[in-house]
Amino acid sequence: MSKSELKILVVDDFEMVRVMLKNALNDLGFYHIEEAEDGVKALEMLNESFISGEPYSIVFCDWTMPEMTGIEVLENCRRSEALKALPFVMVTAESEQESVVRAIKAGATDYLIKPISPELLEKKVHKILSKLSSSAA
Amino acid sequence: MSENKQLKIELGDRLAREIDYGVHSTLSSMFGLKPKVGSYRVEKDCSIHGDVSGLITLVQDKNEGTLVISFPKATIFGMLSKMYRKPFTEIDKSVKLGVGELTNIIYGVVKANLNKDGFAFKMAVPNVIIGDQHTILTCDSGPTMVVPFDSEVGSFYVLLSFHEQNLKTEAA
Repeated sequence: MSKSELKILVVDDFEMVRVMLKNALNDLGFYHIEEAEDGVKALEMLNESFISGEPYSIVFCDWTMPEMTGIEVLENCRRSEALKALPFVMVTAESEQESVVRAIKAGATDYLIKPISPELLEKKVHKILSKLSSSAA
Repeated sequence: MSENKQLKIELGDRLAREIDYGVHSTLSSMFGLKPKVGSYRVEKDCSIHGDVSGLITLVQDKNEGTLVISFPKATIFGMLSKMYRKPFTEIDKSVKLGVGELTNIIYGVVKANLNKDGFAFKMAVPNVIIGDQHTILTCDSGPTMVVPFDSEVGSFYVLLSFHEQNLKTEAA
């Protein structure tokens, strides 16, 4: 699957961060990007995408959101047979070591701390895509 | 951290550098801007005017002070226009939420660096104040550090105030 066909979900309650991530991913050649503004909606979209046979390839999910936090979305994904292997990048303004450890322990594939630099985003995405292509080979 | 062992903060060069780093890293990553910091000043009775301001409470074990980022309309419109790739002419929901999130992110960077020195600042929820040329009057008991910035899209201010008992003084 080409970069432009990969389906990516960006989850954040702040529109500005969703727009920033979407623009940065567009600039990296990813155009199939969808957005969710809360964790409940995100989980619904992730499940529906799997059922429809067009699952997301990567999810970027904010940690601190009302209704359902990013860590709860992640835990739900990891408990689900359908979503347990989904590459999940936790995005947060919280850079303390214990938060990073908590996210990784909960099954996050990677971690991005706000402010997100386009260069770091590119590195993380390429790392995930390399893993995906090597596991598919 | 117990209250009597709590570190006290100094409104000086080190804090100004952390604010500069937090602002610079946030605005360069998010908007591709290169803001320039001006000389900071510390004032007992501070009064700054802005059109949109983000405000966040600095909390360790208890309320310690306040961080405010105050923008003229033209500056915040210019910033958000770069990201949204469309012009902004009024303070809408995107502007309100954008200023809140910018405040949150900048505070997150400053907090993380201060905490490396033993402080224990926690994340907090920002609030946004809107009103043409509103006045920011700091009500914390201590003085306020005012850090001016200029950027490709205009100027803005960061204000940081603490309660007197949380400040390091020469006598402390």
